[in-house]
Amino acid sequence: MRGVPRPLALALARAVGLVAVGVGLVLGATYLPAPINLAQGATPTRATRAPAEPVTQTRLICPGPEALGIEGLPDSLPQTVSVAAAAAPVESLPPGLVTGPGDGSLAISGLPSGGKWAVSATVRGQVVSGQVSTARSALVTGVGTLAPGVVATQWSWIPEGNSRGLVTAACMPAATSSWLIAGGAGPGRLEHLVLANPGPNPVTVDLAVFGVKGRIDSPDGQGLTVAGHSRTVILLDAIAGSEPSPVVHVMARGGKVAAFLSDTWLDGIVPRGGDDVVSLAEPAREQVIAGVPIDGRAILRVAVPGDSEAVVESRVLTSGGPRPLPADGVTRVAGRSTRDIDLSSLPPGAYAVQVRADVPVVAAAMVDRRRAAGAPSDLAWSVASLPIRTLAGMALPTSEVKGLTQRLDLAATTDPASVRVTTVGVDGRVSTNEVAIAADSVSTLSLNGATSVWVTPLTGLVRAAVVTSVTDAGGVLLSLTPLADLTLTATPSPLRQLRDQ
Amino acid sequence: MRPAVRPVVVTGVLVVHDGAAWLTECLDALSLQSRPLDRLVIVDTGSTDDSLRIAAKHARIRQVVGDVVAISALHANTFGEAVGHAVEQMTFGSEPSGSESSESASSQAVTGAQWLWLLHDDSAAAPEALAHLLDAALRSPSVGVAGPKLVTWDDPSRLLEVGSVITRSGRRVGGPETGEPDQGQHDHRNDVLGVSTSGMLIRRDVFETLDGFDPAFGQFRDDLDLCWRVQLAGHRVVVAPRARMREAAASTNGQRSHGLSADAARGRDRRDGRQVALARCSPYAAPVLAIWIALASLGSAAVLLVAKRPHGAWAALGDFGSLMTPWRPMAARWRSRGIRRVRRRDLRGLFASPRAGFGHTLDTIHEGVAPLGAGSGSARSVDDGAGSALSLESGPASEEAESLERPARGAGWRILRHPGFLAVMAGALLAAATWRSLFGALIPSGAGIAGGELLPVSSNASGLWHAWLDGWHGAGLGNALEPAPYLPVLSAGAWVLEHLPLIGASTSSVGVSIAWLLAAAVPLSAWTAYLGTRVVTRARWPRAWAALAWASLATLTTAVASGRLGAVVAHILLPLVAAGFACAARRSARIWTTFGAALALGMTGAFNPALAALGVLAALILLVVGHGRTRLRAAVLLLVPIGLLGPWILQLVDNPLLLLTGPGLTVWRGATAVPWQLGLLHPGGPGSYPVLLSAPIVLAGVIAMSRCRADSRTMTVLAVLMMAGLALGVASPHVIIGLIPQDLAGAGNPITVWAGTGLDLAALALIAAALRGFGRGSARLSRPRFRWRQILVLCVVTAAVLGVVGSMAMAGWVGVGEALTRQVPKTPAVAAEQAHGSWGNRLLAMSREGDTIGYRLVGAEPGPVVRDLPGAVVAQDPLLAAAVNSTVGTSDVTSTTAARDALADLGVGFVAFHGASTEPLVTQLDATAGMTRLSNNNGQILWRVLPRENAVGSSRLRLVDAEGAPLVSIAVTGDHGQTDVSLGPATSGASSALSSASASDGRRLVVAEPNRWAERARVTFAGRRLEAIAGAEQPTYLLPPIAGQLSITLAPTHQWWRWGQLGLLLVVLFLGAPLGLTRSRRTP
Repeated sequence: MRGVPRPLALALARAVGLVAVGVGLVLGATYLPAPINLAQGATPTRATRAPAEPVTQTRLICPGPEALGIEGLPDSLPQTVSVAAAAAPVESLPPGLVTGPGDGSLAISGLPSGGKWAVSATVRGQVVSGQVSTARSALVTGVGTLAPGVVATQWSWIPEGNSRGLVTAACMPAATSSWLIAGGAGPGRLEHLVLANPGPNPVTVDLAVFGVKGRIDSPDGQGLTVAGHSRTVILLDAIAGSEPSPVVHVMARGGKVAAFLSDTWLDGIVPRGGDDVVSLAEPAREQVIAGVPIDGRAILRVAVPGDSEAVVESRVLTSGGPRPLPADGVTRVAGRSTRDIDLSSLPPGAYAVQVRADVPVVAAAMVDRRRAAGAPSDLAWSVASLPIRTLAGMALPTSEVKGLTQRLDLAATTDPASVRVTTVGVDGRVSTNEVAIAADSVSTLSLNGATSVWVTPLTGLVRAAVVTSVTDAGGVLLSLTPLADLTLTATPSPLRQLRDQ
Repeated sequence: MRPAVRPVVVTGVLVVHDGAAWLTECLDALSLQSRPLDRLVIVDTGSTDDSLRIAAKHARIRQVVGDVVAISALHANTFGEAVGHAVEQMTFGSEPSGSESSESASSQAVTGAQWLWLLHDDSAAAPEALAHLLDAALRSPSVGVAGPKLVTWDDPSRLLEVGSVITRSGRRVGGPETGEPDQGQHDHRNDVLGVSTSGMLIRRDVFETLDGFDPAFGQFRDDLDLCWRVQLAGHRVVVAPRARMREAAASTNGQRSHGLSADAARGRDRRDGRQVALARCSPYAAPVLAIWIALASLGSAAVLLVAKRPHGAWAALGDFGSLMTPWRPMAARWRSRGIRRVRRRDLRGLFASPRAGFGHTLDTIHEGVAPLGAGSGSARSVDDGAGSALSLESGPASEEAESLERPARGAGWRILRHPGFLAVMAGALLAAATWRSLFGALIPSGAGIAGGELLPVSSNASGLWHAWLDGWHGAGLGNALEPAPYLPVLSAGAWVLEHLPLIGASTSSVGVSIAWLLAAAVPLSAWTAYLGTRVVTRARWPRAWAALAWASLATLTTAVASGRLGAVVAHILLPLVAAGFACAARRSARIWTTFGAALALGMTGAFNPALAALGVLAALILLVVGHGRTRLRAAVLLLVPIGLLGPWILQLVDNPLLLLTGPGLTVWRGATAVPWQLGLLHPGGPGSYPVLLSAPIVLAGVIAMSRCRADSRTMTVLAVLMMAGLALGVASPHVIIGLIPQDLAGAGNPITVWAGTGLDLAALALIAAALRGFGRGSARLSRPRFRWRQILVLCVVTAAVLGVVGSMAMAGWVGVGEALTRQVPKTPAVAAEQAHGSWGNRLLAMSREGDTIGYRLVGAEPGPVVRDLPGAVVAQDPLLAAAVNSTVGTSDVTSTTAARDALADLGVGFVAFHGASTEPLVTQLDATAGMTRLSNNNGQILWRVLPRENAVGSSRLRLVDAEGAPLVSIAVTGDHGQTDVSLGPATSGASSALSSASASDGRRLVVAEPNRWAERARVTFAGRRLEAIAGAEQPTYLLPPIAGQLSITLAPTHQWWRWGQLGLLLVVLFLGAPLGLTRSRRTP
């Protein structure tokens, strides 16, 4: 450092020292990134998701007499319907479902309240039944241990007169959106829309009716109010009277409603029968309609809810595998429109219909039974349903009906499937039966003598429907009831109190 | 023959009492009178010094006057008594020896023209004094008294008194001030209410008619009393300014060996003045005047105390003494009965107007709050707590040299050229440029800002204040945790905002005040830095550079852009705190700087505890190494912040980790800057600008620290501070102080310490060092030697200036970033309105978060304002969980109203769901009995919880019968159920429908708060304290069936500590406010 003034040397030393410490700190922080953990408490673990629990309450609504209590019209004819409800026998319940100890009950009541009802059931498999002949729906409530796996069916059998026909309808939980496919043009053909609100608050319902020429806009279908604990019946003809191929979308605001569409036809003095439809599937790019027993006139009705045109590819599934449609196997359906595809030329047999489209569609099939032109007939609707994941079932109309035949139609798609079919006899005897279905085919099983039938899926994608028919002197009365996948368990949404930050 | 030659006989009455110091000069002056005295009576009142000897030996006076008599009045205690004794002697006693009988006879003939000239032994009349006095006195036969202009003994050019001007309440106003330069400004006076006894020329018959001085007023203001009576008796009192007398005012100044001290004399003077007014005013006005004196005394004392004039305040309080002895003015009034010849209102013109008295007080206050140093060197008076030499006009006399310091240009020009002002303005421009995208958030009627570390808050000053003060506070159901200490500061800011004129009411004045604070952070930082750097250098332009360097630091711009409130406030206050410490370490610190720094440190601690801890550490060091007064100041700096932060300190003891946190001082997510950027004072985050722009500041600081100079000790301290700050800064991102809790986004991730706090310290040291090292750069540049050093200094200074300019430009260009946004109220308007309404309705806000449903109870009470370390989750209230479960539980639609009742019991009036309307929960809530959907706006669906069957809606307070059925809702007036309402008796209203059993059991008050609320609540009804019924689900109180006032308050957790905090704050504010002068106000 000779020659450099002493203050300068000192200054240099200081500067070097300062810079060295600073650089040392920075380098230390860069290359020694081990964190100093002062956090208190252990490492937090992720909260486990709440397990699914058996439902503790099931509420199903049966439409009740569809023709009674139409808004603005006096009741023309008396009508009585029967309601049967049952809880799935233990044998049919999927493995792992433990309903737990404790009491449960299954009861039917009126909606709005009223009517006389049988005492409630407390045993699984036991059928509770009742009759409604007033303008009200029936509310089937299963609570406690009997809540999981409750089904109910409303049916009416009228062998004679203008109302001749056999009608079965699955009772449904209330929903915010229902797609109802039934009805048509023709003199004397009426579509009753039954809306039942089991909740305490009024619900506003908007209807969207789709037809072959597009959506039918009508102010009458907007803002319908269904009071709490009550039902409303309206005639769809007021909105779309001459529509040959109506499809109704029921949208509920401020609550849920159970929606049913009753399609009855009195062609002059010739009773052409009727059937009730419910909504089992929301619009999707694949719809499968199980239980389409064709023997005569039959149609497939497809509706496109969206704006875009759909390319619809349809085929039927038979016991021998899939078959193409006789005509219109691939067809175009304009957006917001419906289309009927004739299936009448198919040979008689048990079918399922598979519909695929490039945009979501809804679909249903109607079959007709008519001995001869001019003779009375009966029509039946089967709607597309979802594959059974947990359990499906149906309380069957009593075997007291003369000439009653009941058959379970199973349809498997994509892969071979197998199911366990459980039936409960009149004597309460439970019998199970494993059924295998080949891929893309259907299989049938007779149910005669059973009070309820239950389908527990084992493998594959299976849809099921019950075909109920009565053969009498006037011909065949037919009704189709696709089975809905039941909700046995519920996963409660975990509740969490949020922080204020 | 008429004795026309000398019709006027003037008898001097000189009262002597230990006046040896002045007596010779006094007698000399008397002997030099151009109109000599006819007689002189020297009255001695028991002098113990050689006054008597001086009087006896003074030959010249005897030559001039001839008739000089010395008498003794040992019993006389006062001047008045002495004079009275002398006059008695002259009238009734033997004629003073040596007088000639012929002259005696002639003088008897002109008794009416006999005058008495009253003289003090500490006065010296100018040669023409008597002549001028007689001139004034004889000008009109109505003149009874004439007085001279009194000037100070030492400097005849300074005034003492030119007649006395008082208010009607006896207070001296209107000057002249003691020591006021005599420029003839009072020479216009003629008729006055009174003149001093010193040099008073009074007609002998008047004196005798009035029976002389009143003994009630002793030594002080007896002159005023006498003159007042003279006036009342129909004579005039005039002052003759041309007659000058020097007066030592020895008694008043405490210069008499046995007299009162100066302070006591002033007090007596003041009191006696008031008593004279009480004695001589109209008897009807006396009580009013007494009340007025009491009120004015209290008011003046309070105002003067606030203006930090404790002496003046004490003196003002002394006026009370005049009311303590009411018998004295009453006796005086009795003695003087019957003398009044004129109406009192004829004297009106002689008093000072009330306005003059008020203006006088204002002057005093102005003097107290006048800027420091503005009146340095001016003479001040504590008489009356008043006297402002500042307000006087200076004449062209020689001593007005001080006025030459005034600049030639106006004040506006001076301000415009002031570097500090320019720095603050530049900071304001930078702030305006930075906030260009968020101007809308600064609208006073808006909701302020949110985002970054700022949580959405909708509250006003009162809400925030109660969130801090009340024992039960906080959002939702509330809690009893110790509130954050910064809440009252924010509350004060919001309060100021709310009370600004011409500004519309805001729904969230807290949010707006935070927005304003953040927006003003840059200019405020520049301002405080400019003020604080005064301890480093007096050079203004370098200080302006330092101010802007401090205000444009990345630590501030990023803190503002991220809403790191604690960092912003600390950045603003840090220069003041540091300057306060620097002052405290020196010998010459003023009290207010110490207390101001302590206050700033306390406030910094409320926002940034780490800095307060370092400050306390520094104070401790100062306490150990300092000496004398430094230790005292260090103790103040140590104890005041601790006292101000109060019970919150206990929290620190429980959880020392809180020291590292603070409002917005944690990093939850987002990358921190890499260490080399930290080394260049950039903590990273929104609001960052190019890092290298800060390099010149670091460079300048390091070079300055490296230089060897006389103040190397300071540089060493700064270097240590810089290194400590840098170490803290680079270590902070590695310190994990917590993990993000499960229920928040980013759960499980570490929460680290924000690096900016340490970097702020490092920056402070660097800037201070640079300022100290290069602050006088221009001086260095002019040195002839060491060329290399000049070049170095030039380069460093240029780089530092350019660096700051570049930083400001880029910070302005980058702007405030995206993190902060305008706050949009999340609570629907109707729910917010009801929350602040009389039922205090709550909103149950729900949202779907993944597979869970989150819920939160929102009331009028504000939650946290800024993100901090997550505290322990407040235990979930089982009632709330049950209510929510019954509302959104898996069970299907029920016909019962269980959900509604459970919600109403918690005061929930509204339920909101944030999410898609297709959510099953929406349908479920739609179908829930007792709830009706109100609206669906912006993804938020709102339901109203309907009133129950008996129309009792959701409310915080409700009356129920013995079965628990609600009877009526009770209005609340505050947060968390606080109220003060009157209730009718139990028989009225719904209770008539009750069964007899329940009526006998009585009604109950149920509070929609958790049970622990009852521990903090004080519930009184009809004056009696109620205790909560044990075992109830919610706080329940049995109400007596009588009518009464129901009052519910939530006492603060540490009530006495809170009072202490408030008291300490007031004291510190008083002592810390830079008002008034701490140096002596006495006239030297």
